[in-house]
Amino acid sequence: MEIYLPIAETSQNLFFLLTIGFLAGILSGMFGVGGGFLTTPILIVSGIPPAVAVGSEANHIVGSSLTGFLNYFRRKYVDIRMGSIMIFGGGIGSVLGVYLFKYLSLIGRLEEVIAVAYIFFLGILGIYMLYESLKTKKNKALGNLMKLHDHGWFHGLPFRIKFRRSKLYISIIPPFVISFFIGILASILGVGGGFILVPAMIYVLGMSTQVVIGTSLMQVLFVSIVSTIMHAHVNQTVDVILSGLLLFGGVFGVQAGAFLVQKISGEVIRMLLGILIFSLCVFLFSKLLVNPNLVYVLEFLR
Amino acid sequence: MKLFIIIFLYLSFFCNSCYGKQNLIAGFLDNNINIDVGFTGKKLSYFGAIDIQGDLVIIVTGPRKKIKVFKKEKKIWFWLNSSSRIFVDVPSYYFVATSRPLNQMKNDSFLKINQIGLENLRFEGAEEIEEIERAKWRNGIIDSMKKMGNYFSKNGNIDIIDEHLFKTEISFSSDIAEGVYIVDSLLLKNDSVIGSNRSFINVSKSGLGEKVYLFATEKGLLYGIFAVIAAMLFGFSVNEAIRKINA
Repeated sequence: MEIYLPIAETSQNLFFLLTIGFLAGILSGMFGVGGGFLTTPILIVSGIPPAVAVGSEANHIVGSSLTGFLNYFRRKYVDIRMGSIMIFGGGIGSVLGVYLFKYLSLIGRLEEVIAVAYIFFLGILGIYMLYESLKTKKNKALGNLMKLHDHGWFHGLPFRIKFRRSKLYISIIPPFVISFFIGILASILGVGGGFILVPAMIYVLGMSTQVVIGTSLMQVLFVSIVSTIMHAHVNQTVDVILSGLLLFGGVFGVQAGAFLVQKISGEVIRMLLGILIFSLCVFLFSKLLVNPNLVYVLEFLR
Repeated sequence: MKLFIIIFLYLSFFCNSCYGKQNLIAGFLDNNINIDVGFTGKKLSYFGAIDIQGDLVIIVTGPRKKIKVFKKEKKIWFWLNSSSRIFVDVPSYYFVATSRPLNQMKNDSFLKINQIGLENLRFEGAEEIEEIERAKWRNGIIDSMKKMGNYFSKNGNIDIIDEHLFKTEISFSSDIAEGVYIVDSLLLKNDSVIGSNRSFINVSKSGLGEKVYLFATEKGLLYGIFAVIAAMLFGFSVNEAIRKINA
C-alpha cells in the first residue's frame, strides 16, 4: 500500500516506512539511541529527497528520544547539570547546522556532504561494532576495563565545576564544544548524535557510564527539538506524515527491542547491527562510484 | 461503450450547433487530479470526436518551471556535482500522443514551431553558454525528466473508433507537479491545422496532504513547533503505555 507524503512530494510504501520505524524502535529499545544514523540513510536510499529525510528524521527523534529519556529520568540516570551545558552547546550548534544545511543545498553540495559524512561515520561505527562484538566474545570482562578516567589537558581548562552525578570535576568547555559540534552534525545529517556523543562522553569526558545514556538522550531530545523547528522554519523540509509513520512503527520496535535484549546476547546483536551498518556504508560508497542514474540532476525552484 | 456513444452524440451536437464547423472537439470526463495522502498516480482518459479524417496529435504540457540543473562529472573515481545552470520555462510534464508516428507526418517546421515532440521542445535560460554545450544540457534535462517519469520517450497511441471517435490515456506518476496542465489536440491535414481544441487539467493537493503542505510552507515556524509537540505527545504516551504494560 502506497502513501503520499505531502512535503517529500512522492509516494512511498506504507509498510516499508513502518518497518524502518520498527527497526529504529528496536535500536532504541536495546541501546537507548534514536536510530537516526540508520533511518536517515535508508530513507535517502529509498528515494525520499535527502533534505526531507533529514528534517523529518529530526522530528522522529524528538518522539523516540523522549520515550527513552523519560525512562532514564525516572530512574535518575541523568546528570541534569551536564545535560544543561550540552543542551546549550548543542542548541547553538544545531541552529548553525540548519543554516549550513541551507547553504550547502544552495551551492549543490548538500547530498554529497550528507553521503560522505554517512560513509565516514557508518564505516567507523560498523567496523567498531563488529570488532567489539568479536572481541567481547573472547573477553567478557568489559566492565573491568573501565577504570577511573584519565585527565586530559582539556579537563583543566577554566570554568571548572562539579558534576556530582557524572563523578567529575572538570571545565565546562569540553562538554560545550563536543555538544556544539554534535549539534551541527545532528542538523545536517538528521541524527540525534547519540552514537557519537555516548562514546565521547565515556572516553573523552570520562563520565560515569551509569548516567551517560540518560544524559545523552537529554541532549539529543533538545537538539532534535531545535533542529526540527529550525528545519521547518528555514528549509520547510519536515514531513509530519513521514515522521508520524516512523514513530508509529517505532512503538512496536521499542517493545521488540526490550524483549530481544533479554533473549539474545549483546555481542550477537552488536554483530548483526555492525554488519547492517557497515553494508549500508558500502552501499552509499558504491553509489558515489558507479555511474549515476541521472547525470543531470534537476531541482525545481519555487 | 454506451457511455461513449452518448458522449459522441453530445459532442457532435456541440460540434455542429454551438461552435459552427469546428472539425474537432475533445475533453475529459474529469479533469481534476487531487493529490491526497492516498495518491499513487493517476490515469486520465481524454476523448473527442472529429468530422474529417486526418492526423491527430495530442500534446499535454505541465506547468512550466524554473529549474536549477546540476551536472555530475566523474572526478578521479567519484561522481560529483561539477557545475550548475538555471533554465526557465521547462515543462514539468510533457506527453505527446499521435494517431500515426510523428516522423511520417512530414511537417518538420510545423512540429518545430509548435514544440511538438521531445526533439522540438525548447527551454529558455542558460544563454551564456555556447550552442553545442547548451544542447547537451537540454538533452540532459530531457533524459532526466524521462527517467523521473515526467517525459515519455515513446509517443502515446490514439485509438480511433468508427473513424470519428478518438480516445487516449494520459498517465501521471505520484511525483507530478501541481498546477494547470494544458492539453492541446490538433487535427492535421495536408500540412495544415484544420481543427484544434484546448483543455486543461488541474493538479492540486487536497485533503490532509494539502493541509499539511500549506501549513508547512506558509507558517513554517508554527508548523515546526506543532510537529515537535505532536512528536513529544506521542513519545510521552508511548512511554506511559509501556509503563502501564510492564507494571
